[in-house]
Amino acid sequence: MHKMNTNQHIQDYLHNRMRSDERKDFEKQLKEDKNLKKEFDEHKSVFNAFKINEAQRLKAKLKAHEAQKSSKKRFISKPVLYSIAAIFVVLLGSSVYFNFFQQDIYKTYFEPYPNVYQPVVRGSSQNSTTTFQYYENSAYEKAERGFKALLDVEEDPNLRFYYALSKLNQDKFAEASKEFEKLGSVDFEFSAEVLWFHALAELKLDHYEKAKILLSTMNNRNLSFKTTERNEILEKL
Amino acid sequence: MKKRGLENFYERLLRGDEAALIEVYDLYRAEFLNFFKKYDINEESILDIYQDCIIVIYQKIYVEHLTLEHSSLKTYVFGIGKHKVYDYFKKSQIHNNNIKNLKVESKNFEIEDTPNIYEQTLAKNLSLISESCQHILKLFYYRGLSIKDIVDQTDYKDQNTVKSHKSRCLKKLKELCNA
Repeated sequence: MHKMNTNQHIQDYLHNRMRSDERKDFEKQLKEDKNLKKEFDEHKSVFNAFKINEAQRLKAKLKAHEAQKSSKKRFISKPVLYSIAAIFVVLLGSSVYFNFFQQDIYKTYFEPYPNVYQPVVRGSSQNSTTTFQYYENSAYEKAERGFKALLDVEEDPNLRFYYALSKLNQDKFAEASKEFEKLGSVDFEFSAEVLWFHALAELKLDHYEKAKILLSTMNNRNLSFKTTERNEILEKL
Repeated sequence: MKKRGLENFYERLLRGDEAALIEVYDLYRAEFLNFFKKYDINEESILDIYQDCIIVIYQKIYVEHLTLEHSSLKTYVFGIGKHKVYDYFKKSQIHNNNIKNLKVESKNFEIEDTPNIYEQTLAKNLSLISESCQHILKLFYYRGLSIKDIVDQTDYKDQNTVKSHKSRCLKKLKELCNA
């Protein structure tokens, strides 16, 4: 049987495009011709593989439809509805309060930290200078990319500190927190600043306990950086 | 009017209309759940079986061009349902006095065997080949389009391009399965 015809016959068989006498003939050939049988099995396997995947996709679609239906239909009695409404109001109130609370603290206490590490002067490494220039000009996205490139070449806690600050200035609180975390155990020039900015990032992420721990660590170490401010926050928390 | 509506469902399923799949699902859902309640299966399992039935029928019509000469769509839904409920009891080894009747009633609606391991491996690896490969293999194997039809329905320039791309994609898929 010609290859093209073989494929077509297999397709016609699997997709029911044969008359019943043609089907019987084809089934007879399958029994007699080993090569045809091998080709048929291979074709059918890929056919079935697609059926499996499509069935999974459709099942997910039906489940989603079912979930949507049941959420619409769910009957709630009035007393239960009132209770839920009351709980919702309380929760909404508290979440709004916490939202205002943490936004307020962050807004009150956050201010961009200046570039005190590398004054932008001639003679510094070209890439590093350009990056700090971006930072000084509040081009934090470019600064972030620059610090990342510098850190890819060599680990430097000072550069990582400004890398984290670049993220924080773009409101990337979780990413900034991750970078500050890496610097938590490093003893270097900006250790106090790391604890402070890390605490502010955690407040924005609603991690109040974590923020408290970080600010308390500053107290325990008798760090002079932001003494008044951190005690004010600790009192509020 | 109702008959015309049901004929319309069949034609829409034949075209692969997935909105029709949802409509058919909603149409027989309550009746199906109610019918199989007597077999003491929890609602979650019946619902799961019902979803599988609707998918089997959709694929039978859309992919395998099943004709409904001797039974209506509803009969087919319940026929496949009985088959699947019978399998459910058999696999879970739960004794039920009514299942013998189920087997007899469902013999005209037999469905395929469980896919073998190779087919399951192929299915998993399909997602690892490129989208263009998945597309061309799907048109050829799942939809059953001829090489000429694929040229007509896609941007491939000629039949030779389709053939060679299809062969490369199939080779890649097999390599992944053998790796």
